[in-house]
Amino acid sequence: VPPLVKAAPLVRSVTALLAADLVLAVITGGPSPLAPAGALGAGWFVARLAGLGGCLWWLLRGGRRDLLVLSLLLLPAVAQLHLAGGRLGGDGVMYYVQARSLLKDFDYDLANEYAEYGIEERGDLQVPTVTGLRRTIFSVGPALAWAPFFALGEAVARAHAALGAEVVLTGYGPCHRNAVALGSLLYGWLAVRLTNAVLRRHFSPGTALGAALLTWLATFLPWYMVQQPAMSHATSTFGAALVLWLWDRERNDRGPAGFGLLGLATGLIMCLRWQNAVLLLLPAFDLLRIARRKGLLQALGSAASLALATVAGALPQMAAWKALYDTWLLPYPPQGPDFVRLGRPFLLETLFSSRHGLLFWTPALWLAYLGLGLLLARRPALALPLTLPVAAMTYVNACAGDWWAGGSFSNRRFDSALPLLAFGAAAGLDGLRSLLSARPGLALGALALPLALWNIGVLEQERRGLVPAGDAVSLAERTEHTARLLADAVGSPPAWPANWLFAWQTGRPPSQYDVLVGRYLFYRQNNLGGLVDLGAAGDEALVGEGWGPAGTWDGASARALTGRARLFAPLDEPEDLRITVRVAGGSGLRVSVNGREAGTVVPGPSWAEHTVAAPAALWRRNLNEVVLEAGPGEAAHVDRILFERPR
Amino acid sequence: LSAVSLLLVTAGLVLVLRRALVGAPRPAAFLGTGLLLLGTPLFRALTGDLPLDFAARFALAAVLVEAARGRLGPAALALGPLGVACLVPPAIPPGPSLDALFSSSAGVLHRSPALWLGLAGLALEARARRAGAVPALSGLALVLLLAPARVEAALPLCGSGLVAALARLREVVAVRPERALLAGGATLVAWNFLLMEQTRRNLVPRDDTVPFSTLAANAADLASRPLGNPLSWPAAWAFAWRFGAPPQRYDEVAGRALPGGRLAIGDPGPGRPLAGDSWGPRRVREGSACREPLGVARVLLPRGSEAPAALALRATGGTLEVALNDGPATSWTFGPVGERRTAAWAAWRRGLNTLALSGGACVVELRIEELPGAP
Repeated sequence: VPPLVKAAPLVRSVTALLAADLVLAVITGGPSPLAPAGALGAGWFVARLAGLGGCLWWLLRGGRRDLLVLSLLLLPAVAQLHLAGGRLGGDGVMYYVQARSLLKDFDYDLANEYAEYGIEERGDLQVPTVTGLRRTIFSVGPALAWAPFFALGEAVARAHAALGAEVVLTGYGPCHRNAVALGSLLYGWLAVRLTNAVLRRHFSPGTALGAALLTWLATFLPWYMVQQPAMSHATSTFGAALVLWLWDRERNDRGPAGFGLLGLATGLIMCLRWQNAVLLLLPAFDLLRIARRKGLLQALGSAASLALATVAGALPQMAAWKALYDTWLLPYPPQGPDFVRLGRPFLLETLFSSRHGLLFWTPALWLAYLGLGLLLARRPALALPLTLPVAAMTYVNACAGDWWAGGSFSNRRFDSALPLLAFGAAAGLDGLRSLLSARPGLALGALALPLALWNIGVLEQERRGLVPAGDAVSLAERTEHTARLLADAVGSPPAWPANWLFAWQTGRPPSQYDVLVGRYLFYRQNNLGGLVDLGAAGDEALVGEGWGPAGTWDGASARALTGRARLFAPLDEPEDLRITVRVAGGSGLRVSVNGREAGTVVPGPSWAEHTVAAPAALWRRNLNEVVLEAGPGEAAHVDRILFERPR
Repeated sequence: LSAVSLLLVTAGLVLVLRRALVGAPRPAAFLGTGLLLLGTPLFRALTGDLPLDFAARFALAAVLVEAARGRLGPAALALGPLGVACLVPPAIPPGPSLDALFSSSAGVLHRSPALWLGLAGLALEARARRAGAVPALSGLALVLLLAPARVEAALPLCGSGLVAALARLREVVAVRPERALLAGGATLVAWNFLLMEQTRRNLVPRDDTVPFSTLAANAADLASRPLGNPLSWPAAWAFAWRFGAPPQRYDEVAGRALPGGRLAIGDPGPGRPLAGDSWGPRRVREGSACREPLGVARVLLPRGSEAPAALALRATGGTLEVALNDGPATSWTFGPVGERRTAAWAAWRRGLNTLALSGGACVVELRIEELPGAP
């Protein structure tokens, strides 16, 4: 027996030992069986990960390269989670409290959990529901998906306590939180594994791996695996990948049992995120095909199996709603009936706004969307069932009230579209490879362009006096100026082509799209409160042409206007508003909205507020143009403009 | 004059392009020549502010290079551009300087990284033993090392290098397009991780719009923190090793002047990179803004000569130990805001000097006092 073969069991044992030790170190936050004297420091943790990586490489080196690459890439993600990762950030706490309540208290009364995190008095949480419980607007699925990890955290915490350590056993402590975070990390990684496995059935191994890696490392998935693991997105991506994998496995030969399994899986992932229901479009295509080929009766049988199993899979969420709201199905999301407005899509904003626009923040998905188009042209039978759920999910997310997905990294609500978009990425990679083989000169442009841009940026900054010629400048400052010059000239590349359209419609530089689109006077969270504070930092987002530079006049920061000056007032819906202008100077200031006069204010020599009424008929959805016009030859200073809803 | 400059630059570019079209594929030849125009200081010809002597040197060098590739031979190719740099109008090369190549203020390779590609292209040609490649590489390297301020004299050679590099890249991509895809994918992954890191550090708002320029600047800042700005390598590393400062700081201090020899510590303003970070919070004592050193504060003071000079220091309330370039320390005690002055120190160096300050005094300002008659 060759020595290397004889060594394999030993290496396997060491691998298992190191992996178990590292998992325990992650859950306890430091201490592990192989470091009994104290917590495992960062150096030792990374050294053990490196050792584990070496073992994995030794074991997998002769096998499939994709498995080796994906396994090795998991290790730095584990290090990141352990050493610099987040835990209950953002909405994570709202998902975690459900896990804790179900798995520790064995009930769905969230009052004690809300009290623990100091949110029991929050307006939206303090009023009991019809069943007397505290409400939650979040899905129950992640709590169930984390159950094995929460239980592992419980076991580790108890074992640790039995060994004499001071451990929090309430379910709020680090062991439970870390175990849940580790669960999300592993679900995210499994999503990538499953995606890669599905892609290998349709593309070369290299293309499949490349596309899987892009949809992992170049998207928001790592953020929700490591920085906000207590949110639902990593588990949801896993769920979507699982459904895709099941769907593709028997796509051409699925019987009622297969539809049942697929329905059960889809129902379960609807508990993770409700909009995952759009993935039912995948089997719907198969049903149509069966109806055409084998007859309506057989299709109806399979459809019934799919429907029943989907309902069975979705039962946990329905049970949760029953417990909270005394109804198995909600007529609209618990956030409210206007949370999703299917007749009101914000498509360009959802994709291109700097406020978490999907393609603005994740440009790699350009390749995926374009690749889906390519796939549609080349392999429509495969592409069509994949494209429709992606299109539906894009549309649904664009119709969400807060299309920017609140405090999000990129647009997190596309989590379950990622495995489907991976097909587009793979087709895009194949297409690009063919294109580059035929026209390699295109790659030259990609190399030459940044070199030319940098040089032009340096020279233009000095020519325009943005930095003193011949002075030392940090890379950050140089880059900022260059990027601003580029954005002013042709718009920010991640916002193309929405910013071009904006520039064409408004006559403003395309760079203003970045800072303006996504802000609202009143709409939802983080709005402007109706105030445009001229002269204050950041006011350039809302002002158009005609304003002088910001400055201080008579103790107030303001802007001067001579003649006609324009500003933008973004609204969700037209409504009656009062416009109060704090102004000094000039004898008359005409105020018009979208080209129609709202009134004239008569300023005095010193600061004073003047109000005009602007009825809803003057306003429109989204961007409104408000123009202030001083008399001929007159100058005025405007400190602020306040838009108010009549009481 | 700008029209004449543009004409001269166009003539030089035509010569470069004509030569490129002889041996390279047309896309590489056109793109390489285009990059020579847009990726180097020649771009100023398009904005109308290219000095006439700059354009003249470029055109003359282009003619000389063309002649050297014909009758004049390799020696002219290697030495001719340096000759053009020094003779029109006459100038003595200042000698090799890392700052002249890599600093953000004047470094030609920093400001025009396309020159790196030109060097790489000529190196590839030399490795492939192409005729005239070694003298051309020598010619470009000599100008960069000895007369970087007149890099235009070597730009025709750089143009050849750009064309060669792009032609080689084209060959590689045609055979192995996945390498280009790998590079593109790695760029997208790196960009994504830089966005995540700036979000994690709250450098961008979590729930608001953000300009692309801010994202790009944050990404550049984060990417250059561990190893410095790649455009400043290896000078940034040499700087870090010599002064014990982060390599990223090189960009901010190399080539920065100290107007009037004066550096305010309380309100350093643009001089902050020279003052460094080891200072406590800003305080106001007797109407003067000042800061106390945190441990040992190492201030970088640029000087144009090595001549002896005194150092004046305004501070208040405590003792202060001051040492120049790791020399012996001078100790002072300050009461109310007052000024102390050293004798003329001889330990100054041309370029950056390190002034180490420690103690409990609150420092208002440093000032280098040149001796009468000093250069």
